[in-house]
Amino acid sequence: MENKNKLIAAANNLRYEIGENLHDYVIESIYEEASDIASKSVKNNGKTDKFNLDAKIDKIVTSRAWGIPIMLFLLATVFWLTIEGSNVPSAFIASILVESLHPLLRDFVGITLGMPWWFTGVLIDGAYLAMAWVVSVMLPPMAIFFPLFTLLEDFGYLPRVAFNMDNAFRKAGAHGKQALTMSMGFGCNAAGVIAARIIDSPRERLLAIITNNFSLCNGRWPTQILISTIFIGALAPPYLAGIISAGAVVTVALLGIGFSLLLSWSLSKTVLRGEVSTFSLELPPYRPPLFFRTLYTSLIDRTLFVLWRAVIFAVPAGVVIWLTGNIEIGGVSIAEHFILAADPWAIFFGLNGVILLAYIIAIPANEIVIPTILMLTVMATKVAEVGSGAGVMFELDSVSETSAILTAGGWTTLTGINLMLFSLLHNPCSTTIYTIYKETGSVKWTAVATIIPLLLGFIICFFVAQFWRLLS
Amino acid sequence: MDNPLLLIFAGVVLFIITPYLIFSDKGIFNKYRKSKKLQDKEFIENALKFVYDCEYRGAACTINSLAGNLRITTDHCVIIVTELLRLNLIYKIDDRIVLTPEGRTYALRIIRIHRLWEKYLADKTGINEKEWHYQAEIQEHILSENEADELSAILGNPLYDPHGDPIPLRDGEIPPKKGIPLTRLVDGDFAEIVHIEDEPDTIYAQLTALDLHPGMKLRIIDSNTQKIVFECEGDEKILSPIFCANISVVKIEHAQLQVKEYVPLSTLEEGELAKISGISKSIRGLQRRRLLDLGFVHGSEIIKEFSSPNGDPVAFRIKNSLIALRKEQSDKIFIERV
Amino acid sequence: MTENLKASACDVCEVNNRASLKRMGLNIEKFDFIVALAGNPNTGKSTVFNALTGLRQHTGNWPGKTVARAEGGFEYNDKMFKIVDLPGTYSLLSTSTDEEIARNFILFGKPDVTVIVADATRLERNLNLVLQVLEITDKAVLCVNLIDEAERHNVEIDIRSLSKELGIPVVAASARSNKGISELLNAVFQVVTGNFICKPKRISKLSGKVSKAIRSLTTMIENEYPGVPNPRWIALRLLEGDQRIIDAIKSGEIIELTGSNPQAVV
Repeated sequence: MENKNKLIAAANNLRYEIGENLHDYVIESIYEEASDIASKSVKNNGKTDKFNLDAKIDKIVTSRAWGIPIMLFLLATVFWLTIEGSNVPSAFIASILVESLHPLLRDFVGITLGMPWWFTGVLIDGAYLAMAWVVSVMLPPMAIFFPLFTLLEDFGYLPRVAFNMDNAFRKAGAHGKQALTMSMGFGCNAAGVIAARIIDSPRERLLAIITNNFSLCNGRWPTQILISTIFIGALAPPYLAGIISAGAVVTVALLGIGFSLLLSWSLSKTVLRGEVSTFSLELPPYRPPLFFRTLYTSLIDRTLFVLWRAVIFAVPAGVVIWLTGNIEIGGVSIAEHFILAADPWAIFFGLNGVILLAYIIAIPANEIVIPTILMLTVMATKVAEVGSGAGVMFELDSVSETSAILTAGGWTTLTGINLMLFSLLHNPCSTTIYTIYKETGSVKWTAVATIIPLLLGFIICFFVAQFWRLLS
Repeated sequence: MDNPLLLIFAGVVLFIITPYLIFSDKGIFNKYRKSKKLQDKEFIENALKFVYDCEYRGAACTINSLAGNLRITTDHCVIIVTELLRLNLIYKIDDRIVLTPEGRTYALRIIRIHRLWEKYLADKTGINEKEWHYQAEIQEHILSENEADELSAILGNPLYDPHGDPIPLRDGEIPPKKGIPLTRLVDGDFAEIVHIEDEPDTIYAQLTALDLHPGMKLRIIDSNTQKIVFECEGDEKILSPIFCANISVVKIEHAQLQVKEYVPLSTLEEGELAKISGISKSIRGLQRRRLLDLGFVHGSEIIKEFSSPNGDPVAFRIKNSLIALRKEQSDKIFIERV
Repeated sequence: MTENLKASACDVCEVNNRASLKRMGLNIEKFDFIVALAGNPNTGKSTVFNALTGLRQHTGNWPGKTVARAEGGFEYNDKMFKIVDLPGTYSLLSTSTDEEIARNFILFGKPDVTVIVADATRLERNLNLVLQVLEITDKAVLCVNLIDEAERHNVEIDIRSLSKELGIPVVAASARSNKGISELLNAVFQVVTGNFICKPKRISKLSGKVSKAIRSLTTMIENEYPGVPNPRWIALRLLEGDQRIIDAIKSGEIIELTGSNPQAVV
């Protein structure tokens, strides 16, 4: 015992004597040794060819003229391929899980097994349908987006994106790598939040996590496109409608990037005061990616991982969605009670009760917001001929029919615009909230990341609504 | 209620002006935070800290000087001193207040937490230097001894806080003060900064603004009773002697300087080759270690390869890998041109 | 069996060695030896891990992505190996969690061999970590990975001279295309069975005030714990204020490192 303490005390005395430079000194000595060894056993036959190929690529992808356009082009291509490419497989999975299997299961449980109607409702129309919907709309885009993104990552291009974008993030008090978590967020916010691990200083990592929700994720693109086509495209002459509505969606996405930087900046000035404490970004050499390995691992590690989390949250939400439409108090369902009560002040914000309720009960995944909105609108307006009953989500193939339902529900252009804004600016989906909690380990920061976008959503909708009314 | 103009006005007030008034630097929230009434416990702990500091400096501590330091009335101070006497933390020799062994241990514990917290803020967070002292003043009354031990372990049991003050070991004393005031140096002397006093605020703020840190080397150009001119990491600084009295230094020989000339890495031209001569002491903690690990050590060759579209950050090739640094960092890394 | 292989032509040994590798994936209940896998980020460490275990761990082209410690197993020459993939780090000296996990495992986990994966195109920077590992353990194998990439860049590495300099087996590999894996397995086997006795290079360039401090502390440690394989590392860590080492001294755990108690504690 005696000797042990003497040893520790001796070490402490020596430490006071040496001061703070020990680490610098040790690393310097090691590197001296390393240079020595390396000079004896490494021969570099003149820096030729290949080093220059890397340098040539870098010269182009980081150049003043081409750097940003190339980046935008590559990312836009990834998103376009994701959105376009997933239409067919999504429809295919939906046709199996929703259109074919759903009625079969309903008949099987309700008629063959003879279960009571409410049991079939909760289990099949609620839980199963929500899960089926999440799988069919989430799986194809993710299965396309993540491998593409991972290919860019393995090739070594993504660190260059961080390099090119760092300036903007530096001004916002954030780390350049936030550009990557943000891009990842366009695929899925939960994955974007996990990706924030690559940022090693805690403050900047928190910024990346909190602002990730402002990246318009896969689940929200279809909502944006649908609503934009119905309400914004309609304002333009038919031959311009396509371009105008696409432009509106892109504007919303860019607005998201703007908000992400703005919030990073204001958090840096207030709650998360400070400068970037560490910045060094390694730009690895370009490597041809291993195509099939990438495909496999990104499917397993990212797609299925995120999908599984989403399914877990979708099942109980499906039950809740069905119950709100079917439990009646005084002859009126809970959903209708809520919609009636919320309508006046929701309209004040340029939204409506249906939208608010949909965003509350469809919290597990943004993908099921539109089906829920349609179901609720039909229920509230009592349009009998569409849909398949209270509490059962549905979607329509035709844009004009959807438009008709929404117009019957009292939707105006303002409602459309504000829904698009609110879809960008609202609380993250429950999968993302859970992931934020897992990654930060803090209830406080999870709450901040959840509430800030929601507040911002209401504030922006409020101002848009008032200006709209002022000008029209 | 449905006049949009009125609503916009109300919205601006509610959503923009109010949050600004509450959360901005000079906002209510911050003012409240800073003006919060101290609890009795905090007074007692601050008093112990002050008495300890007097003893450490070899000065006498009286009720009056204590009241002045705590910014309270003498009457209030008498109550606190009575309480300290009752707790057997101090005793009195005539007018002088002296710590008992228990009082000394208690004071050291508070000082330890304070300095550990400053070290933590400096090394592990990006929180501004001006905030360190103030936040540590709060934490020192909150953290338990075990939490302080944990913090210390996480930080690698640091020995000095970012101002150069030694951090007491658990149950241990502090080694005696090192260094002499900067004012005692004469023209042409070389010295290393070992300590920068963080009180009073106004002087400290000025020293922070000059970007001076313990570990930095300096050379006196001209020292007289009016002002002291010195060169520190390549910049010429001018300070009045009152300010310089708060900087402690130890003299060194010119030969001990690893960096002879302070040429920042940021001045390198594209494609130009240079050798690293050192990293400024203002780069600390994680950032410093990372740079060293990446090979930014004395003698390493470095080439500027290319810049990002906006000119910042810049990619450098060092030890055969490409590392991008922001200008803030490359300003603080020194090179010798080859 | 190994003796025969050594004698035979390399083409043959490639086939034979490969045949005696059985990837066990996550099946690591029983094992004879522990292999620790260390290395800089982005050197293909996970590829080596996957090549040995048959698992498919993705880490991406980023430093510090492997956050948790991954484990796997393989069988080679009828011996069972458990392999532990440590977080990729540039160094082992700082207070970050990654580096703590890595250095504590190499010291206290007492692996039978530590395989260090290095990037052939940036050998010098990787040697920083290699030399630190060699301060901790004297049973190590260096795997110079990405050797094909280095060749493309006209970088030539003299594996023999490197092995002589470092005092440990050095293997050139390209794990992506499964090149060099059998040589790596063989080297690992030689070290764990004691056929190859490592004489690792220890840092000698320390001088001045720091080295005096390290020397005096090292002597104290040697006197207190005779037979401890790495007194200088312990001295260095004490000077860096490493709490884990201080605790190990206080609790007496450090005595287990002297080899008087052969039971591995993981």
